[in-house]
Order: sequence, then structure tokens, then C-alpha cells
Amino acid sequence: MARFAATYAPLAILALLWELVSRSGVVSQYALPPLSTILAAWGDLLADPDYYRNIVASVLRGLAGLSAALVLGIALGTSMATWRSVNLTIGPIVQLFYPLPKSALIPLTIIWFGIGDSSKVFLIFLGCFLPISTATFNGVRGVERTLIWSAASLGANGWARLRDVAVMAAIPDILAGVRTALALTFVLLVSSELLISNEGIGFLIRIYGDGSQYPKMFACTFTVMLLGFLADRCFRRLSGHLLRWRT
Amino acid sequence: MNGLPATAAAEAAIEISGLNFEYETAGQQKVRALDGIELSIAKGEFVSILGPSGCGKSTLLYIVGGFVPFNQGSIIVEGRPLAGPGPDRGVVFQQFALFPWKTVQQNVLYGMEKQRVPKAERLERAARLIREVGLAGFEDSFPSQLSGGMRQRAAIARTLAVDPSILLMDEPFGALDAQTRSIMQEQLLEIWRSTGKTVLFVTHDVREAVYLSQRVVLMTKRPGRIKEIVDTDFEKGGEFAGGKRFDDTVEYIWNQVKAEIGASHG
Ligand SMILES: Nc1ncnc2c1ncn2[C@@H]1O[C@H](COP(=O)(O)OP(=O)(O)O)[C@@H](O)[C@H]1O
Ligand SMILES: [Mg+2]
Repeated sequence: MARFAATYAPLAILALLWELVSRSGVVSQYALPPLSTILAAWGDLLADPDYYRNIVASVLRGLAGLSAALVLGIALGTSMATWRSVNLTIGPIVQLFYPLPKSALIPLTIIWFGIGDSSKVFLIFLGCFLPISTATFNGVRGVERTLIWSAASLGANGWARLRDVAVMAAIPDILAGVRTALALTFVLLVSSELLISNEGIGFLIRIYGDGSQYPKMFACTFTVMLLGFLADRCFRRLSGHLLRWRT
Repeated sequence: MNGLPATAAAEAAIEISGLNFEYETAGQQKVRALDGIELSIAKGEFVSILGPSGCGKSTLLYIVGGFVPFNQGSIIVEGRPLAGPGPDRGVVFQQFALFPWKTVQQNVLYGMEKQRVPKAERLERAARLIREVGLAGFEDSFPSQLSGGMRQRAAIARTLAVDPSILLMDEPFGALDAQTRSIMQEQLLEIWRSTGKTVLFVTHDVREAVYLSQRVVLMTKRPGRIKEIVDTDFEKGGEFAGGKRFDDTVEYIWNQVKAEIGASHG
């Protein structure tokens, strides 16, 4: 109970301040609608099937891009750490693209894939791929050789040694990469939907903003926050489970 | 098999001849680790390798394990030229090298899964081995939840699970307290006597080497050469029980080791 209060008291205070500032007229109610108005608008949205359809569209795009990055990122990172030739070939390309803010590629992805799902999925994939493959690379490179050797002397072939030992031992690093990728997923998803799209939660934020329906716009922004919070919770659960062997 | 050095090649478990080895280091420099190693180990024999730290003991074991490729000399393992690691040579590393994300039982099962041992037999054998090394009740513990001695026993169970005919052990008891270590030594001897496996055992502990093995291979400081092979195949009361022959042998080897360490300081 005390913990519950400690966690939520600061939020409650912030909410109260918001309401007071907005109602006092110090700032325009367009710029900062009262929290109660926003919550009421959010209530309206919750009764609107369109709202859910857009959320589902965004979540699916995020999941698709992130999953593709996860599979291919782990595969590339492991290959680069295992085979010198792959590292020599791909390493410079990775280093070149790493610092590029992937949002700069939004126009290009639109030209290539149009304004629908594929451009968003591709962008998220691009953004998440490098943090995951780099983290995997570092993790696999750091695997203790006696672990690999143990597997070899127990009869594991090359493929089994990669899958059962190298990747498993790299999981703590991979998870750190996924954490970065997860944050990037939200940034890229919402910004690409804001910029140009025909559905998604970022799309909703934009059309409500363009239509001056600010309480609804705020409600959609809160939705993104909530989704981010839930995603982080899922991630923590998953990494807690995957790292349960560490004490 | 009385464990005396084999005369016929067919009887040898491991035959090393003319083995030289150099590590390549970053600055294109080469570190010579082993120099002209000649050693023949009979099937069922227990041989210890003893020498100052850095003399190449681990390197020799890694090479015989097939983990580190070599290009000068020849190694024949049970009649065949050495080619990479394999389940015929079980390895126990100083730092255990258990898979930290697997439980004790999963660690012990891993090799049998790779060998495609049928599931029922796998489970049965794992349970028996875990019991034999005294880890019953810890099947579902992760290595991080175990003491050093328990981890080492889990590692030994994992190695024994694939029933290798040769055991390569790199200072396996070095990190254990005296009491655990003494228990583990007894267990190892018991396993060796009952299974007739060949054991190549690296240690820097003279009493341990003399107590456990039939022959002790003394190595020089780097680059490791074989300085002398001492016969230690006699009745021993116990590591600390002593006995004239035991004490004399320990003292003799100690003096050789001291001379070797002294030599390294000038
Ligand atoms: N990967 C490596 N690269 C370069 N030198 C090494 C490497 N591993 C070991 N050495 C060197 O080779 C020598 C023998 O090492 P090692 O076999 O570990 O000795 P020991 O096990 O007897 O202590 C040491 O001088 C060590 O510094
Ligand atoms: Mg060593």
C-alpha cells in the first residue's frame, strides 16, 4: 500500500498541477487542455473502433520491424563474430550506417515502399537492425572459449555450438541491444506515421492535431506513452525470465 | 591393464611426438609455449603434468583436446591422428566452464542430447551421475547458485555423461578448499579405478600429482619441455598419510620444481 502510494503520488501531483495550470488560464487551453478534458476525450476514443484499428496497425508494424531486426540482427552479429571474412566485408558498412539517424531515411522509404505498412516496417527494421547486430557481435565475441570448447568435446557440431552456446552466452548483450531497439521502434514508428501515413497512432495524432481536436490529440499521445510503458514491462518480464540463471 | 607405459602402439591412448607449439600474438611476435614434447600414455593410465605456471600445461591439454590447432609434430589418439575436439576426450576445465544458463541437470544432459542418446536413458543416466557426484537435490539449480566444489562436481558429471575413454583435466581442483578437494580426489580415483579411463591431469600441486597418478611428467619453465618423467605407481596410503616412498618422491619432485622456478629467476 505504501509502495503503491509512493509510486503513484508524484503522478497524482503532476496531474493536479496540470489541471490547475490549465484551468487558471496562465496558458491557452488549446496548448494545454485540462487533464480532465483530455481524459474525457480519451473516453470517447475508447468507444471508437477506429481508435483500436489504428493502435493495432501501429503495434503490428512495430512488432514486424522489430522481429525482422531481431532475427536478422542476431544472425548477422553472430556471423560477423564467427567468420572473419563476414566481419571484414560487412563491418565497414555497419560502421558507416551506425551513426546515421534512421529518421533521415523516412522520405526514401516512402519512395521505395509507399505510405503504407511496408515503409514503416522497413524503417523500424533498419533502425533496430544495427543496435541488435552490434550487441550480438560484441556478446558473441566475448563468449568464453572454454564454453565453446566444452560443447565441442561433448559432441556439438559447429552449428550447434553457435546456436546452443555462442548465442545463448550473448543473451545479456543481445537484450541490451533489444532495449535500445525497442526505444527506437517507438521513435521511428510514431515519427514516420506523423510525417506521412494513412493509419496508425501517429496518424491519429496528426489528424487530430490538424483538425484542432487537441484533447483527442493529447489522448493519442498518452496512448503512445502507455504503449511504451507496456512494451517496457513486457521487455522486463522477458529479460527477467531469460536471465533467471544470473544471481 | 596395469597402467605401465605401453610398448605397443596399439595400446597407447595418446602418443605425442615432436610437438612444438607457438602462440601468435598481436605484434606478429611468437610466444613459444611447447618445445619438443614426446609423451606416450597407455590406455587406462593416470598421468599428471606438473610444472611452473606459464610453462604450457594448459596449452598441451588444449592441443590434445583438439581445441588449439598445432602444425609441428604428431599426436595419435587411440590409433588415429588427432583431428579436432570429440566426445572420446572429455575435458574438465579449471574454471568449470559449465553453461551458466543451464541447470545442473540440463548441463549433464547436453552431451547426451548431442550424442542422440534416447531420452529415457538420458534422464536415467543424468540422475545417476548427479547422485554419484553428490548433487542430488540440486538438479534444477543454476551454476551461479552452487559453491565452487559443487560446480566442479557438476562439470565432472557433465563430462562423464558422454562416457569419454580419455579424461583431460586442467587443474580441476585448484579452486577448491582442502577438504572438498580431498573428497574430489577420492571420487576421481574411484571413477578411474572402476571405469579404466585414461586420465591426463594437469596440476601444480606436487602431493596431488604424486598421490593421484602413476607417472608424473615434470615440465621446464617456458618454453615447456619435458624435464623428467617420474614413476609414481606405488601403493599410497593417502595424500597426507605419507609413507617413506611417498614422502621421498614428493620431496624429490619438489626439488626439481624449485630448481626450475629458481632457473626462471636467473
Ligand atoms: N592465447 C595466447 N596467446 C599468446 N600467448 C599465450 C596464450 N595462451 C597462453 N599463452 C602463453 O603461453 C604460455 C603457456 O601458457 P599456459 O599453457 O596457459 O601455461 P600453464 O597452464 O602451464 O600455466 C604462457 O607463457 C602464456 O603466457
Ligand atoms: Mg594453466
